[in-house]
Amino acid sequence: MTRAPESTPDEGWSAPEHLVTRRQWLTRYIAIRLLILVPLAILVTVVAFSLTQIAPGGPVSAILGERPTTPQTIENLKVKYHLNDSIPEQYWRWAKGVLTGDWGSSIVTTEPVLGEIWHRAQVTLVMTSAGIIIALVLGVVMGVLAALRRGRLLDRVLSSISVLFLSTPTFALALGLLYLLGFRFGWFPIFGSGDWLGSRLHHLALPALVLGLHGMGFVMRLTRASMLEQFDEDYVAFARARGLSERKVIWGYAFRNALIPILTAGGLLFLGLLTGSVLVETVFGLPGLGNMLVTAVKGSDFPVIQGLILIIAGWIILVNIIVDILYAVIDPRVGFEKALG
Amino acid sequence: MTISREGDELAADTNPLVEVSGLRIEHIAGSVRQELVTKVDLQVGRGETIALVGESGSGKSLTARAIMRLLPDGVEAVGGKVMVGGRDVLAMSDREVRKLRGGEISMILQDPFTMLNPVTRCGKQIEEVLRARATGRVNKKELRAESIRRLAEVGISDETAVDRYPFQLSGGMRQRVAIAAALAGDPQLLIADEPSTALDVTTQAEILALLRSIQDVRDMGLILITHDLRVAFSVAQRIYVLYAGSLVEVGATDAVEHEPLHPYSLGLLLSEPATNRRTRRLVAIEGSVPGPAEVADRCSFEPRCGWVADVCRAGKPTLQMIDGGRLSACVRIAEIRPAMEAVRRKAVELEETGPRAATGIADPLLRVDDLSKVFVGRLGNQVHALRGVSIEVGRGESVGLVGESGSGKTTLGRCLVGLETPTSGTIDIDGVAAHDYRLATKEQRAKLRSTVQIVFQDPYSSLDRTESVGTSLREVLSVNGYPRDQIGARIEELLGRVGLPQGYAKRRPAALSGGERQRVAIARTLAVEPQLLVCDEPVSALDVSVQAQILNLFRDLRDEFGLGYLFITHDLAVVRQIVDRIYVLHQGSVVEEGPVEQVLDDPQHWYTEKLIASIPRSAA
Amino acid sequence: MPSAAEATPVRITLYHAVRKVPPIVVTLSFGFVGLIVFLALFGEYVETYPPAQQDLFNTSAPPSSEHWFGTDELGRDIYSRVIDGATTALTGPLVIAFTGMIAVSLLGVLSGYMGGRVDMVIQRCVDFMFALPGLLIAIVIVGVFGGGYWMGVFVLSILNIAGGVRIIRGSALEQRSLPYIEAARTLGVPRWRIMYLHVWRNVSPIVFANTALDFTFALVSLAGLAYLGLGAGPGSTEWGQMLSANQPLLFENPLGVLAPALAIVLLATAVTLIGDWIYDHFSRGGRTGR
Repeated sequence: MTRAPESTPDEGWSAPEHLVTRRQWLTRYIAIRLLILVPLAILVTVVAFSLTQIAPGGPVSAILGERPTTPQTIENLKVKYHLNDSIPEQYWRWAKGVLTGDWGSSIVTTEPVLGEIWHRAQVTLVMTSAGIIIALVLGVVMGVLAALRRGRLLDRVLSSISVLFLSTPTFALALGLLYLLGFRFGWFPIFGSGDWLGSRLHHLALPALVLGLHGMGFVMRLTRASMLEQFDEDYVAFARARGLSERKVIWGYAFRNALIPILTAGGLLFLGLLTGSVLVETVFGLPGLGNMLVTAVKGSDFPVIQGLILIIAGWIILVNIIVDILYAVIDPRVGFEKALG
Repeated sequence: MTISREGDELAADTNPLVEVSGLRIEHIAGSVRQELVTKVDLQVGRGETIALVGESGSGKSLTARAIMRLLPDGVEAVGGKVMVGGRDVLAMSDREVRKLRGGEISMILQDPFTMLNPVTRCGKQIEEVLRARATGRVNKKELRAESIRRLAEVGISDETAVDRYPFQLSGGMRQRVAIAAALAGDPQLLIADEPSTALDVTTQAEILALLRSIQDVRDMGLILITHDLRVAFSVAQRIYVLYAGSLVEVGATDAVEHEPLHPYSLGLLLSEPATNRRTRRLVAIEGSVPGPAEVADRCSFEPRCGWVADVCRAGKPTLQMIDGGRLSACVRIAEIRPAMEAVRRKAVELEETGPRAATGIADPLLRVDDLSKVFVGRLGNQVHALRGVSIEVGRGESVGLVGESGSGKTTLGRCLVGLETPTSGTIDIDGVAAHDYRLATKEQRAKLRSTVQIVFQDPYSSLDRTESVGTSLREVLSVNGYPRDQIGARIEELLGRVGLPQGYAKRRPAALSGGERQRVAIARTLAVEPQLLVCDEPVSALDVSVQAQILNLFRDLRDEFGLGYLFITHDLAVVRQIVDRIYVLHQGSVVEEGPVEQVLDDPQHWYTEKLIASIPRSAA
Repeated sequence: MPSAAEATPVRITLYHAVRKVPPIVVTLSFGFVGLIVFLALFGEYVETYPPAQQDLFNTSAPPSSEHWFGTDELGRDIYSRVIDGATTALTGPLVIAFTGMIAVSLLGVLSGYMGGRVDMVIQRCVDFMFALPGLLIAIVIVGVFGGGYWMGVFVLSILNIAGGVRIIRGSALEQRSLPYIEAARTLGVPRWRIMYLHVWRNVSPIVFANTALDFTFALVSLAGLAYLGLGAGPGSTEWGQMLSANQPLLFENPLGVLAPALAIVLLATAVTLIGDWIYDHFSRGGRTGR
């Protein structure tokens, strides 16, 4: 009745020799992402530039719009805007202008495009950022609550709310809230952007709320699904079996892991709110970039359209890079799995 | 170190750590209630190890989780008591239960790959338990030092382990970290739910030995949950056999091992393939495990029992005291005891006499020469799965490939059927070069197909769940040019060969048990009349009682149709029952080869020795 | 070896416990979609006035027994116009959803099953498209090149497939390494048959659920375009267009103005719920995704 001898651990670590350490991998990962910026920037500028080339009627009518013309004015215009040069030369000249801050002037208002964008970007930025914060805070809290009360009444109610907001178009939600909160209850101004800072923020509150609620539906659905998946994981059961507090189990275990898919959807959320902001600005008559885009598109104001394409593409690329990097930093497995293949 | 067995005095400890009585567990979905566990009684004393043994659906894991109050959503303990230190766990408030967990009772789960928080360092997972149980302020450095000490207790002497993430460690290491984390609150009772099942054979033995020694040193109670009788015998002092949600037998380990007192325990014991000899025919239990609800009003084993009588259907039997303080739920045990004994004796006598003709291979069907396979990761990291392996298989011969995960045995099997293309080396199958299926002509591929086929491990995803068994077989027959008007008859013939009734052609995979699915998967390969079947762990996902059925089927097919096998497995007992020769693989190389008896009875390589030494044996 | 036999019962139990969409809600959703289909086909029999008929003596009227939702600035009956809009509301999204379903099935399964270069090329394209703001691009293209409603449908049809291809590719990739597919390969089942019979059939619940999501997305996007004046032409009964045209009446006749918005919300919600239900119902053991 002799027992087996005291055990010895199995030899070594399972992970094979890493040719690439995580730190090296992470540096490389970030470097690659930054390097991709160069071809992306070229691609975006080419797309923006070629818009005038392929527009109906070509660059001339893009510049002239629908004004009556004579052959002489067209010729003068071509000389003035170097339209007789080869297309690569024209692109190069335009791209140099973009780099040096000369983004051309609006055909309609003759204002410089860059200045106008700078002016209006503040409205859109404030509104979208507030929207994202509302969406994340409300969405995450409601998603976690619903997951905790899975199948119960609270879950049902919160899930219904999320589906409703998810499938409600922003402009419909905006009109609804405009009527209810703006007109009926009179809590918020109904139109325009206000003059002094406080009033301006007040004017932005309702639009931001609309964007936030719209994003909230998405974030909540994702959080709930992601949390429920975590609750089924063994490590959550094992954490409970070791007597860890429920707070620790929910936030330190389930939520910490659920955060990864939520974060990766951050790019998608930003995209959704950016699109939504175009409609919301139109509903509320706010002088933001979205409103500017719609007006420019309708008036065939090409320099403005080009400028907006550059700035919006820039934002999207930036957000995606940040999400990519955060994802790699927050999940320690990312580098290793990739490094191992 | 010796211990005394107190098997004969059942429940000698008058003041047990945990005492479960009349536990009933139900699955509740709306108004539909389904019984999962029926009236389970058990107890564990200080310094005592018991084992809950059962196949899938026996309710052993649910019983353990009920003790911890960790049942999954929709599953509830609806009756009975779980007494710990004089209090009923089932009646406690959530707060009281949390205090109990970790400090008085703790638990480790089956899969070390999913048990630890993937984004938290190992040391921290131990520290958070220490911190939760500490009173007052705790010093970070002391915590770290303590967690290093705790890791040393479970055999991890490398201090850097505290700073590693779980995914950086091997399965065995993770299981050790998990044990350390589970013990961080110094519980008096540890529940280990299949703690070694997901691990390799040699690691499995180490973890079991570790659990034994820790239990001994700490004088803890240990509840081991396992489907493997051999594991239970090697660790526990008392065995509880569960079947379809209720206890069928309770007894001291050596008593149960030497004379099981329930037809199910006997069947389970006999269907374990012997590790030290080859039996002529494995004793299989027919059919498959019923749901607890199907047998609610009678003996759970009634549908599969050979000694069934009317009295077995008269109601659910309860455990009865048999002589020597043993408990059995068989109402006919007194009558059939001699008959059971006879069956047991006969099974032992069923040894195959004399060595089989393991002669040299004059005309090999398959010849693999110097085969290597390197997997290349995204950033150029290389994994050598196979390093210059050479094997041969003769016509109608059965050969075993034995090794643990990472040995390259599965990769080799996949290379043979074209699922993987080797990096270098040659494969010759019946005169056709098969190292790269893409280079083969259409005719050659057809020939390869009808020569070598593969059966996979997991029966649950081996069949397309959207189509019926008949449709599956029909597709294989028709794409291989079988005459259309004979397909129907051929399907019935194939099902008959694997022992399935004809009506099964209409069934969908969801309506089949694991064993039945594996039979269909085998029938599907037989459709192309292969000469050699590559079997990649074909029974390891099945319940023990079903394993024996499938192994017998493999033997029948060999005897009737001269089918040869390349049997890939980690299980030495299984391989001994089925093959003539074996190759032992270790880290991509063949380290030993020869006739199966010779290699297993007189191993020459240290690794083979280690594998054999790792087979769980009863401590007796 | 992780034993599948052990894991299955608990998994199934857990899955049943998560049943999401209550049956009554599913029935209501199907009912509402059925109603909209009915109105699209036979709406003219339910309309109380011809939708284009103007009544310049009775403009901007509040709801009344004659005009249930009131009249717009040209005196047209809003109720009849909302009903007339059902056809447009269904056509474009259906075209987008079905184009998406076919493209997503073909490309997603191809990419996931074939792997290698084919997969890499498809993935690069899809990753790029996925980061594009579909509606903004539609705004620019429809605004610059014209083409109205159908140009919008065309642009969204193309940009919409990226998300679906990603999801289906992932599921197809999962299927590829399962034994039933590998067995089909070694047993000589032709590749196209494995891809578009076995793999597709096994991922089809996700394809259908994705199609429902696509429909919702298309409905909302097309209405948005029309609201901005870049979709259906002025005077059409497209719901988004009506919202924008009637917006000045919001505070006088909220019901009339918001009726088309309500129709959009209800239709979109119903289709989303049906998509959820398809996913829950047909993919056993499936996980809840986006």
